[in-house]
Amino acid sequence: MHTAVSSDNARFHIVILEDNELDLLTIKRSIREAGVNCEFTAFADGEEALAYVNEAASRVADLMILDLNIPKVEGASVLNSIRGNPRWAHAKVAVFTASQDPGDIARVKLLGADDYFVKPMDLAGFAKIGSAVKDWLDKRAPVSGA
Amino acid sequence: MKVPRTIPEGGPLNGTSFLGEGETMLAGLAASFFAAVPASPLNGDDSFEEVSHSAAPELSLRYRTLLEQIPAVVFMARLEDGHSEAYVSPHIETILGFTREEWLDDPIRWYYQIHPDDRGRWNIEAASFVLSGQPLRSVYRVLTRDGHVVWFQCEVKMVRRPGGQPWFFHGVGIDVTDLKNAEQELQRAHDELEIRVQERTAELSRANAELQQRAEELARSNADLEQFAYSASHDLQEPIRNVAISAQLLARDHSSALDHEGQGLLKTALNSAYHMESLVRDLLEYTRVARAAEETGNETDAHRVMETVLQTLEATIRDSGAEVTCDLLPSVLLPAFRLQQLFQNLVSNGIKYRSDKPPRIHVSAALVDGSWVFSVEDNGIGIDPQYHERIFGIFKRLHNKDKYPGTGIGLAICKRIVEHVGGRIWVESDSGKGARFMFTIPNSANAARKLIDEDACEVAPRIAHR
Repeated sequence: MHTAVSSDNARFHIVILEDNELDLLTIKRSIREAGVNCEFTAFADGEEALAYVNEAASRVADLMILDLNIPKVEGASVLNSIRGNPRWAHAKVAVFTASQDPGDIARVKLLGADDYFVKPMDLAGFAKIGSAVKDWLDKRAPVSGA
Repeated sequence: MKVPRTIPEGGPLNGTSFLGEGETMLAGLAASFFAAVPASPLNGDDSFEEVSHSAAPELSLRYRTLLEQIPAVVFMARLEDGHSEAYVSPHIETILGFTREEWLDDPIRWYYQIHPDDRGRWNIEAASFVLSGQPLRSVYRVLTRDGHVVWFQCEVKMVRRPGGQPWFFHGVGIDVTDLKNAEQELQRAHDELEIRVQERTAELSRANAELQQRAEELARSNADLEQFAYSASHDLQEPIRNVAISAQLLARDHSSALDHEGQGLLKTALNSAYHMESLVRDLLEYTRVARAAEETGNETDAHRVMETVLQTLEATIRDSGAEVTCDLLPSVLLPAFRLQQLFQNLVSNGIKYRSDKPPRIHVSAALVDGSWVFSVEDNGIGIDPQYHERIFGIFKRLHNKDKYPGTGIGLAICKRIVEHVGGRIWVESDSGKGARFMFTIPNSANAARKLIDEDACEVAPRIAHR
């Protein structure tokens, strides 16, 4: 799945790797509702995401949000590829997962994730993630050309 | 063929200086016997006595009587005559069944009475005896007249002429059959015992291997079960979250489409999803305690952990008016977040299950038999002793969820954490009299030392909530 949602004057590019449609929908809404001016690209499995990251012409993300537990290629492998790709060196990566296992958290931090969001049980939790994304993007200029 | 019995004169042995003192005596003894032996075959005791005409017949008689009372075969033989027997004591008959006449008449009978299996050895030992002149000490099997085997312990000595050449030998054969039989019996019993011990050992190791295999199977099936519980609870999380999030989106964005009853149902769905989520989360946590190959190499300062717990529970403590106090706590071999789970569960239970009085909770530790025994004591509603075991079971609750919320897994997790490191947990309580939860953590030598350090003392005042 390759969904590009454009909005006028989109400044930032956010890539989301998430196979749960409700989570995808909700996190996009939360980020928009937080007031982030951005364009989304979404993938539902690791293979598609990997192909995108490794494609020379792909548009580099300012922020990549990835679920660890996704079909085909694990989120951790995708994260590893991003960190090994110079074009994507400046992309911020936030892991978005249901796991609260301290071991999982430590592992993805080691792989180079900048942040770790536990999938919330309520909309307030999603709203917090939306504001965190806005705070972070406000502090930097977009790396990607539109 | 008969060997002529030439009797040596008693004279040559008198005053022999080349023999040792004992040998002189033996030689003298032998000489007196030879003097008593007739040239013709002996005809029993009487003739022996009749023909004795030595220089000292009394001595000869005395020695002869003495010799012939010995319950063994005493023998002498001239070497010059091809080893033929010159004398054999009458016990030859009681022991081997041959009369001495029979024995002496056939000069090579003795050789054929040696058990065939022992003859080869005798040949070697006898040759060595003749060549070296060293006494022969050996045990042979000898056949009786009726073919039984008698074990003979033989002692044979050489007597030499003054010129040094072998003259005759004398010796004694003692019937050690009973001893040998007993020895063999003992050996058999020993061998049998050995075999039985080996059989028992084999049986034991078989049983042991079987037990080991069963333990492995059990461990494997346990691990499978843990894996199942983990995966199941992990995979349950997503649909539950989806229900909860959908219900919230529905309530937020589409509430105008629902009447009062519809909104109530939506709220119930949401609450159920929340409850289910906490059950699944706790179940995950419970299985994780046993799954995790956690590092236990690092010591955790229990005092600092207690500080964190008090910070985490700050609002609960404030709202309930609780007073949580704490003695100086040691360092233990347990990951900090596990110790935090323990304290947090026990302290918050103490607050949750409070009586009408404001909650008072005290945490302490003591070193008992090489383990740290931690105690979390409260003044709450207490627990009837009949439930003291049950409360540590998974999802076991004694009270209504509405009055005391929770999933009922907290103490089960505590039990797992403690047992995972080889400790145990229990409660001392009576209904209405507060509860005292105790758990042990096996001690490390270093941890004990740390408690006495001023380092630990410095932490103490920061916690004093009293």
